[in-house]
Amino acid sequence: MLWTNGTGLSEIGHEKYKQYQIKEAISDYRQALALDSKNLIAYYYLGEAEAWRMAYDSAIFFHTKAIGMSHNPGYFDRGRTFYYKGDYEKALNDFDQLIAKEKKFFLSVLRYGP
Amino acid sequence: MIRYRAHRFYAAIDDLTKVINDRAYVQDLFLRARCYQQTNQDSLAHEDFVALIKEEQQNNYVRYSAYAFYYSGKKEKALKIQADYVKDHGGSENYYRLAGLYALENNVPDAILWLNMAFLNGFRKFGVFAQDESFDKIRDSKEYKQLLKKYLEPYF
Repeated sequence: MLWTNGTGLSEIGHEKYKQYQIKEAISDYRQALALDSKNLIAYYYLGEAEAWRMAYDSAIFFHTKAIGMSHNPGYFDRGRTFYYKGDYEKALNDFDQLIAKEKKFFLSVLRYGP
Repeated sequence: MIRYRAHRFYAAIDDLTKVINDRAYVQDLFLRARCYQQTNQDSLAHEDFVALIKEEQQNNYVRYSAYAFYYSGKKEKALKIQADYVKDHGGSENYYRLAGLYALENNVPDAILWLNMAFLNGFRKFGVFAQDESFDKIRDSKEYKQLLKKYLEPYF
């Protein structure tokens, strides 16, 4: 059954996130992590949802968890969150690390912003 | 944008030039122009602004051209172009851009009016909004803080 599976819960949460049901989405992601503490998708989505509602420190925590699971795009997600927070040096550091690891992110980093 | 906000203007110009030499997108031209302005290379900034305005005029849309006029010192023209575009097309992103122009003028009431319109019509890019230099002048105003709180609170 989908609800007993952490990845399934993350996906359900993401559907809610896309409809701006952020609190409910975050609750689903947290439940997904309770079922599987190594659920990369849940960490990623939690980081995104927390960043979306400007809870930057929490978002950075979850993106750091994702990076710790060898998820290189997490550098982009965390760098973007540092950028939102106004911590430009840490943002640049993450973006530079990402480009060093995966050049294909060059344009994403270059163009990111309003 | 991050290098621009971090005041790494020359590094940003180098990166943007590599991309523009391949294909000149308006957002890249705009950002490079702003970097040129910050490094007192006004004639190069002007060239980029002219190129992006031409591109948008040829394709009948306004995304960066009003801001290009604004930063070229043609503030009234900038506001008129963006306001006319809003009148004809509506849309949360267009309302947002008009709000940004008023914010650059430190016109808090009109900036908040159009920001509110943007949010009412679905604008939800809070993070982008928080780092958009257009709003730097009004970010400490109580109206700005109240508006942000109003639209963020339901998500906590």
